[in-house]
Amino acid sequence: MTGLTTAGTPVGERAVTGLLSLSGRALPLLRQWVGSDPGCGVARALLALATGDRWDDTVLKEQLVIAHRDALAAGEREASLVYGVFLHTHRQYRLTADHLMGHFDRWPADEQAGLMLGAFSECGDAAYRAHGEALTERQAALAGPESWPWTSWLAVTRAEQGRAREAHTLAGRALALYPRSGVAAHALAHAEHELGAGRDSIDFLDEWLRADPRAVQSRHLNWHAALHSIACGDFPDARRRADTALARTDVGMRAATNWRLLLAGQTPAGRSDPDHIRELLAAPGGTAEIFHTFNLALALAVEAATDDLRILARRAAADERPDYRDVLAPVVRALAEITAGRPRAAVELLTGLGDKAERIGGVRVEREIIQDTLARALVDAGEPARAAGLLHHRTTTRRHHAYEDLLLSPRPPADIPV
Amino acid sequence: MGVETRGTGGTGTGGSAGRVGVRAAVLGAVAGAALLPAGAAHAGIIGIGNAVFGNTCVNQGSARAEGATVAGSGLGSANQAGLPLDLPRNHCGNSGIVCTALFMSSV
Repeated sequence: MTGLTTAGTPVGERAVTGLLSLSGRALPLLRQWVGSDPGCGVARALLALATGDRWDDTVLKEQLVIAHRDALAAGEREASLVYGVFLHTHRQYRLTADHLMGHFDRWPADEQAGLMLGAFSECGDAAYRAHGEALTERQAALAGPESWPWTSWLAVTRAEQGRAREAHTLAGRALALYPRSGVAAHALAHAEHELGAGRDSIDFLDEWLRADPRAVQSRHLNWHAALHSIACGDFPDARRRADTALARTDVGMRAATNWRLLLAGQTPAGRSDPDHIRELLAAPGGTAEIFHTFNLALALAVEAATDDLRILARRAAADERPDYRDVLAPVVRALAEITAGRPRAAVELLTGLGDKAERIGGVRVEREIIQDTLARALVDAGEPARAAGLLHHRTTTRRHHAYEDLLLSPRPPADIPV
Repeated sequence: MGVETRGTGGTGTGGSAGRVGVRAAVLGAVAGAALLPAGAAHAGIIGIGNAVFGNTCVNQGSARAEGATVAGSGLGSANQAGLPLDLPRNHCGNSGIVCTALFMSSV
């Protein structure tokens, strides 16, 4: 049996829409769906996809065994979907991506499988990321322009490809089709960061979040709004968002906000507890993923924890993974040099990195902070012309670039009026 | 097994107020900033369940090879046999939500 809402829409349909749109109602609806239809394997699997991170291994496996058994009875697509969820929830992203390629061959543009597209980028492998982008383009074409989920995912892809105007158009189209598409709202935030939309983007994000304060991305979109605030020079607003919207666990977003504020010569928001950062690094899996490790390094940099940064850099340099050795290690060393007051050394480390910086993971907006750091170091090392050249594409294409102007300022003012 | 088991070398340095003050002064001099006391604000969590939506992880070490063997039969396994229950769950990073985790997937 499938439960119905008062409006007559099956709860399963509402749950899937909630999940696709990253609605704050997604989890309650998923739980309601499983409760009303316990024999639905897809429902159980999607709940695992959304909440499995907090389940222990035994519970996760038990739930997915039940889900797969029930899905096998429902059909091949359902069984394949649950299999993909099993791989994804076990953080086996390469295998998930492999599986999804076969799944989409048989069930083109399957929106529920689209929920796992992130596996392609989470592999940490450029080839898989490219496969994922190509697959998204194909599936979006198959789904057609009236599909808001696929238009939203295509907008994400374009944003990450640096095609900001296309991303902006696609995100706008997806939001016109379904105004509560969280994926589209997120893609729009990325596109508008590249375009320097400033206050307009902040107003959009605030309005969008007001309609669903519990949206899955509420903290993250507030962080994007903080970046827009920094871009247009509204530093008190950026601090307010970091202090009120982020959770203690959001160490990376807090660090990425505060490091930008510091680079621009501004007062940071409240910071993370240094001991908490060290605990995160020391925890099992604390340095398992390069971009999270980089974020924790930024948090150390905000604390000017030079010694910790040097230790982390040495550890990264000794790591068997090339991305850690060749990319993370010099970046962390550069952060250490900056906190030690040696911008020239940081310039040499970061300049030598070149395009390899992409291998630190994350997405464009998140990686940009490395470029910001180099620009600041260049100015502090007495090379403002090189710094200006480095940021030329930003200062000439972004409508709001107060942040970049401050990065290029030899003696940043302590604060600027808003 | 393909999980991170090593401890970090990043522990063990003190976090005393005096030490933090020195660090803050150094960074302040470099970045021209006035620094607030560490840990001045720990914002509340907005929404329920959000914390579980942001983790991102990577395959590591032998887990990648093992996983490839176990689940190598792909779609056929998905539709005709059971799940690869021996597959380990990889550890993930823990700096909080990042864009890649929210971008294309919902989790």
